[in-house]
Amino acid sequence: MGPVHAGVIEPGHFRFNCIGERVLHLEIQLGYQHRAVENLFYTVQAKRLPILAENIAGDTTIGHSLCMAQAVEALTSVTPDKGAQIIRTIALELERLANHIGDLGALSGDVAFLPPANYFGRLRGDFLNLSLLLCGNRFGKGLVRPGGVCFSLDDDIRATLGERLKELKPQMGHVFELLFSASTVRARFEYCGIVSTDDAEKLGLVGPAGRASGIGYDVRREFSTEYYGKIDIPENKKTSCDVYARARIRYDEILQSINIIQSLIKKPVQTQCVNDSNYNLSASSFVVTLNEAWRGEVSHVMLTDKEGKILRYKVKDPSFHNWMGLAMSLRDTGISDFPLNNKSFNLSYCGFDL
Amino acid sequence: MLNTLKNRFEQGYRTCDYPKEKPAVFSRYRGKPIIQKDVSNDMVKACANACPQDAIDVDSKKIDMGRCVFCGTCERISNGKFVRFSGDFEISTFRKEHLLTDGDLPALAEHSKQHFKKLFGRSLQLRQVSAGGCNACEADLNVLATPFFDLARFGINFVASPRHADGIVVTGPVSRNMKTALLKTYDAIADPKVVIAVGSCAITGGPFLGSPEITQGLDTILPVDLFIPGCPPHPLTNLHALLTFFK
Repeated sequence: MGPVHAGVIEPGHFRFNCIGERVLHLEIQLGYQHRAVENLFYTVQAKRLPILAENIAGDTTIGHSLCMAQAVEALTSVTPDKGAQIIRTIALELERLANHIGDLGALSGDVAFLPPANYFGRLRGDFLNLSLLLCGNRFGKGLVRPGGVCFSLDDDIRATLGERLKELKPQMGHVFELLFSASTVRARFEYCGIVSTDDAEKLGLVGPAGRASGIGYDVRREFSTEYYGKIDIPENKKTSCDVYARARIRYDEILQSINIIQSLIKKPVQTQCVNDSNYNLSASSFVVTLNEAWRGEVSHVMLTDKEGKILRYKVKDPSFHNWMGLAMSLRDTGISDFPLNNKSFNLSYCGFDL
Repeated sequence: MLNTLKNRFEQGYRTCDYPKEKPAVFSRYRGKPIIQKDVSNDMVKACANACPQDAIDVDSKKIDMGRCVFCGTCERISNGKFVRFSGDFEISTFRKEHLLTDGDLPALAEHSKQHFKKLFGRSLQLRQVSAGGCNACEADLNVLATPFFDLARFGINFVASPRHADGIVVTGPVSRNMKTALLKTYDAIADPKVVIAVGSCAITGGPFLGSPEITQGLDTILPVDLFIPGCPPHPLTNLHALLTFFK
């Protein structure tokens, strides 16, 4: 299959090795989205760095922007103010919300349960619009810059955000109930696409896919950046390792993210918006940054030469680890379970191809 | 069953009234840039220098929406005196040169290919090809199928096979590795066909301008009929473009 797929999605080539309808192994061949992003990082003018970071993977705009911004901040000894840290945290959680909700909608669509597919689709749009409320872009582009953020969380915006969340939260709860209480949905989700904890550990799965297979790793807990050090993030670990676990993790994280944002917007948030970022990087330095984006651990590495120019830039999207997890989940299952498993991972092509 | 019905009533009717009525978009949404020409050259130069996309033309005091990623830097620097983003999402054009603008765009409905309205006005089936983009354009095309926008009520659908399609919608800067697949998809569509470029990547290369791995503009390899700028274009921008161009 591919690289051009049936839906409005990114290109990739999948080869199914089958006996009848049983999948022996899935070969995933990527690279169609390659734009030489890493090379651009050290060839373009510094003012383009945030735009490049935002466009590594559009659905993970905030995750990648944060990694880039933190790398530059580390090598320029700049610390964003507390307000900027809170706004960045809110933006990362909004991104998680929109994507997790979209994934649950896609999962219900793939088991042909259309009401929640449509409701989640609509609710996802509402959360994308909350990012637009904050920074004027539905994916958070233009918000994060080295040194802080470009948009403040004014009191009227804070109030609108609070009202919308209050309105959306119970609606979400009812659609969750509709999805997870349907026996037909449970029958399709449970025991489908199992990736054992042992395999997951060997492959180094991250994010919800890893947590669904019993790996508790969450960057927000272990290497807290921004405002996460002051937020209590529970260990969202499941042990059933199947599509149901991957869906359930998203359900848990959606509720937690709404609570996190609600707690952060209780008090006024003040920040000095960034107009001009500092790109005078310290010479001969090396920095690694980590953030827990919605798919899992995003990591950037920056190396500078003796004049403070970027010598090498490395980007690692969570999909880098998890594509092999999708291949494993397909082993010895029916080929008709591919769409469901694929959606339960929902990996990035452009984040992998770079 | 009861639960399904209860949810159905709670969700209610959500489809927007566009194009009869413009839905409200939050105030920080940027949309169409409006240029005030009576500003000092220094201010124009300052904006042009700060623009990460080099989208501002100093001599003509215009902004190229095909390169622009609508980050709002120029508006912030000039404090809205040179560039002001008006929040208007109706920004698509039928010629690439019209994207270099001072805020005054030609009416999209009066494009030169009026026969398209007769051919595709009642039914338009599109094949989307994602060619190297960041997936944001694809995501905001996908939401056109959600109940709020409900593209299908206008007779416009995204279809799986190019053989069923009247045209292609291209997103992304057409990476070297996707070029063959894109051209094959285009060839597989029967004539007469339309080509729509969505997002600054497809129009000029966008954020990846200068990369040796991409095509610097879809119009260099295919005849583009409709340009939808943005990074990504708002779903309403896409909806406006499709309805105005074909209806």
